[in-house]
Amino acid sequence: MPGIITPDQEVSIGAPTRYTPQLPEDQVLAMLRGQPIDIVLGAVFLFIGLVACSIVAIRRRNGVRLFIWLGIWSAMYGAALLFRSSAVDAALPLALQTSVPYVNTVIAYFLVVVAMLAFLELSLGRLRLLIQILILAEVALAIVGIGWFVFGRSDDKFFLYHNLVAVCALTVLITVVTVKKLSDKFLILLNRRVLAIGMLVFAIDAL
Amino acid sequence: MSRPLRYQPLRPLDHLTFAVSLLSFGYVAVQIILARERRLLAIENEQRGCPTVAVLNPSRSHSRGSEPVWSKISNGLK
Repeated sequence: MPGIITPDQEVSIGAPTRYTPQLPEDQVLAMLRGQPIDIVLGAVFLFIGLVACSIVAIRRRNGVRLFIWLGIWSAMYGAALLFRSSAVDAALPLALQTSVPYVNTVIAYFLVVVAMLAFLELSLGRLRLLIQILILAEVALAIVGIGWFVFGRSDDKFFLYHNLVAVCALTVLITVVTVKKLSDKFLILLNRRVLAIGMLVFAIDAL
Repeated sequence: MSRPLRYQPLRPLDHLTFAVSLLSFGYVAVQIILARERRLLAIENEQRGCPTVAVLNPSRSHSRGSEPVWSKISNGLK
């Protein structure tokens, strides 16, 4: 009957707001299935990264550069997890939704670069030079790969080479961290065991 | 290597290993920073006890001009 508002109708008061399509409940549930872990952990890693960067900004001293790189590393990983989720993607404004594939590609290429920059802060001598060379190679590959993707071509064309450099870097770093003589010579560490365990766990999963 | 071996790792395990490596890095970073702070404090205490270099300590000297010298020493340790 015209003029009577039934309970399932929505009443808007004032100026019309942005149109947001309402998905049925089962579609929302299907979209969220398997994604809560990514969303929660993505938010946690992003938060940890932002906290680390805030600590560095508050302290403003030399010697906390390692914290900056760890913070950026964590925040990038968290952002990648969040942007990979289709539920988060759907919740973003339309202008940002179009940039999500570009952000994902940039993070995919630069995540290893930031991790290597964190390691650079702990290294000495020839290892430092080697890491700098690997970082340069990764940055060059990242620029070419991102450019390739921006000009409308596939995003995984240079990923094989990127992965190859990353595997080389990880193998070198694992060897240096686990061998005591090498770590004493090339790394600034007070407790080698903790980093060795962390790196080994990471390498076993990554390789 | 997981692709040619057709091994599909569990996704939550990826996050866990990343968290473990990040924590180990964070632990190492905190240790280095704390050691540096302790070293600076030790030097500061040593200088407080020694009257010949007391002028370098900004808390003892009355002139503000000694601060840059002190900061140079601190930066040199880093």
